[in-house]
Amino acid sequence: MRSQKPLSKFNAGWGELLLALCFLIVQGVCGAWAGTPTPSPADDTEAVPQETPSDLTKMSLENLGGMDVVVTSASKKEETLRKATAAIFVITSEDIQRSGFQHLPDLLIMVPGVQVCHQSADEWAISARGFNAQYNNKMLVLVDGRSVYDPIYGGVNWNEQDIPLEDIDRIEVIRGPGGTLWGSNAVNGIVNIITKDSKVTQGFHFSRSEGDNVYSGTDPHQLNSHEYIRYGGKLSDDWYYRVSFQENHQDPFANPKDDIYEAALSAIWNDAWHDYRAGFRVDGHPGRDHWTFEGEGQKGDFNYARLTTNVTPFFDPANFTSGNDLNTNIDQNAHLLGRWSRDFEDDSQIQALAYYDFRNLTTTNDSRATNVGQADVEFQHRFHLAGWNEITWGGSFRDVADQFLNPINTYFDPQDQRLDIYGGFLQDRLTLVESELYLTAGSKVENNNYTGVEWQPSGRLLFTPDDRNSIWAAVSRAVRLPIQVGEVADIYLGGVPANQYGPGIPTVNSYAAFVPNPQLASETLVSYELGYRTNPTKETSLDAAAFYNHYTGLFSFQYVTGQSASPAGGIIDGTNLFAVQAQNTGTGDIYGVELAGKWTPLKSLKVNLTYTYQDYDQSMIASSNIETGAPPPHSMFNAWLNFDPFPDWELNGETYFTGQTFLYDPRDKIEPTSAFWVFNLGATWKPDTHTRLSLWAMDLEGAHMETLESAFISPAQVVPSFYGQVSVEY
Amino acid sequence: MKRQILTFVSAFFLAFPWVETRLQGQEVSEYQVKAAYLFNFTKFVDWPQTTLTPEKKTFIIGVLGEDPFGGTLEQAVAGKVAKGLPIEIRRIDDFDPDDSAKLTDCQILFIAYSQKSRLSQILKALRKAPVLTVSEIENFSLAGGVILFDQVGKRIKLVVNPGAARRASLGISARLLQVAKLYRSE
Repeated sequence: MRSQKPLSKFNAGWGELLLALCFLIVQGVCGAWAGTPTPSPADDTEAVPQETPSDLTKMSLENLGGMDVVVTSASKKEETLRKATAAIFVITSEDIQRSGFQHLPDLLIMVPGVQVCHQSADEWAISARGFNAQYNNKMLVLVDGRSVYDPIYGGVNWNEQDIPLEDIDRIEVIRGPGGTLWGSNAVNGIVNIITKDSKVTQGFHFSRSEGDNVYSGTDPHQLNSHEYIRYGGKLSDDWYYRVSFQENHQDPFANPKDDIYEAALSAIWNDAWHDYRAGFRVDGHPGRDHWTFEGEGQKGDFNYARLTTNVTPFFDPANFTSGNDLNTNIDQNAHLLGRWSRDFEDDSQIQALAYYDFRNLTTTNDSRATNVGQADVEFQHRFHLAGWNEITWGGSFRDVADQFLNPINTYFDPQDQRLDIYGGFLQDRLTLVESELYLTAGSKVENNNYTGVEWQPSGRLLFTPDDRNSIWAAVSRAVRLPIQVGEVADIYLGGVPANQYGPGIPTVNSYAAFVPNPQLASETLVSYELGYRTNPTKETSLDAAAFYNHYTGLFSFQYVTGQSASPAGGIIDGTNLFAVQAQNTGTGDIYGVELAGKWTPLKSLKVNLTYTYQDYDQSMIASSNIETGAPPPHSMFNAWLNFDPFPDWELNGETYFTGQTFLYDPRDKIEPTSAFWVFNLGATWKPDTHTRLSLWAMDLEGAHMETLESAFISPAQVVPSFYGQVSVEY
Repeated sequence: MKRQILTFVSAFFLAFPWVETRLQGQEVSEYQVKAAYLFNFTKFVDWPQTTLTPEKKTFIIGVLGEDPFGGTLEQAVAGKVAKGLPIEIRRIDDFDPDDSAKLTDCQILFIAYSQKSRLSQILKALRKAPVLTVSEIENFSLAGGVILFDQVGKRIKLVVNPGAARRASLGISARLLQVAKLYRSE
């Protein structure tokens, strides 16, 4: 005892000092935060209370109306799910905030059954229920009703869709077909991104994050950064607006070789990107109407510098040699959208939507330039008839005009293309037994100038024995229209060295071309689905969906003898032309089960678990290639845990697993991909109601590949990264 | 020993302002504010004499549909009285068209978001009954509900439909009308 005395004295002295120092610092910091006066927005003259009394009921009506609250959208989300007769999953703005992801496409990995593979820092391959590829042409993506599906290449240019996450209200993801309401290309899924009404984004919002990849090969080395600023105000009693600006920089991922630190390889590799965008939104709520006007301009530089090893995406057509693909894509997008809806007392509603979207893409190494303009007008009317029918009908017209300019090693004939789609739909939701049994049946009929008239009917049954359980079943047909690249236009692609695609393919140095097929029809899906949703207790919920998809007329690229237009003005004939053509020869079946469970044992603890099992028949393998997409992995799994140890702290952990699949590439090689895990950890401190300070560690599992190298894809290795973010809202 | 006590006491006083700051920084959930509003309505709304008869034992606040309040509504009204009566929170899981008495028993009825698709039926069943209907469903004013919780920015504002209040024979005080936006039906 005695001998310990001096030691404890020593400890106590220093301990005291340290303790005092710590508390002084903490007090100073907290005091500074707490002391910051709350500026009230210009339009609001009400006094904003500085302190929250423990009993809110003692506050005046004025003060209650002046309080900033934390809004939860859970109840609205539940309502969306309750009556759905499809495999729907909703990502709310709270989910986004707690995921740590900074780019829109990354978020979709949270959805059960959706496969998200990073191909490189600026390329994503995203799909539901199979066909995973960068240009997955079987999923329709809408932002506030505006289609961002690329009619030229098929699929979505995810790098251009990095819309500010702070503006997103929710993302509704439907796995499975939705052609009856959404029309063509809504085959395997629909992603509806819905941005916030400007009425709820009033005042200032600023956020900035900086971070670093644990590995980064570029010189000069830069930080990953994200900056977002928004101001929302009131125009008059019923009209609100917001303007926002966002800038992003993402440093490169690592090269696909084992030694990611090898300087020579790292010096070549560059998939960094830089993107900025500015947008506005105006919302008016005069009486029973809701008007929305929104617009945005975006510009981004996306680098595509790859290694030459076994990947030769760029050919010199003159001498049949390949070189480094030192390309930078400069993408520019702009759109304007207007929407009007009117609600009536009898629960009926009319809605109209119009938008124009323009895209310009230029590439630096081969002077390719693409211009795409899309104009779209839609209307929709929903009404009740005889008490047991809810009828929704509408019409739409879309015109896509595109143009390819100044090609060196790619040449389109004709250079100007046009796609017109017009159609209508009618759907009736019949109440067979009040509050218990509903039947929804309808079809869309569309005409397009590629394949003519397309019918996309569906029948859906919903049984809700009580408020806690619902069972649904659906049969539907959906089609995927041909796309212009490789399917409609005649495309000359430059030179292909002999034996490029395996021994004897092509036999001699050739020119390559996609030749169009006038007999080409749409790809068709007939899908059978069954779903069950239950909330056995207030704390738990389970959502299960099973599907059986039968595809016919899948496109398969066959070697043909043919001729192609040459950029020199002449015709390249069959003797030295390596010609491929899309044909409707593929069929296949994919089936699976998707499960999503939620458990909220405490107000401060939320656990989300999902598991997906999928399988397919052997004909699917023959129909799968780099163009049409890979078959789904057998297993996918994800788990997220949100925990609030204190009211002002948020801790988040999440893990995502994607099982092994394979790619069947044009060299007739089947190659297995590796299964991979993604593991993220983050913490957020909210010193006051206006401020969030977050620290995130992403991809803690280490450097890994999420897809394969092939003749057309040169993927990067995803690398661990971390970032810190400050976000302030007044 | 004395020294240790001194250390603890000084640590406590040093820590105290910090703990206090943390509590001040606590976020207020939208349903805490909505619960406080519901209680406040009992002070700024007058119900007809025929409803609040002397036989009445409790003042009833009903929650129809999936309850979003958690426990905050009970916390807000705990130990409080409305119009001289103790307050009772009554939960009604689902709307039953054949038993509208369940709804008309309430003085205030909060209609949860889960009832969105049945809203017009519910309001039809309540037509002219002296019940203060309150909801957060967007088209509530248009459908004929009395008070809508309207989110503007991060704040919860009130929209009052005076016509609906009149039909329900409710008197809304000038104080409440002053802070609310009035819904103008066309």
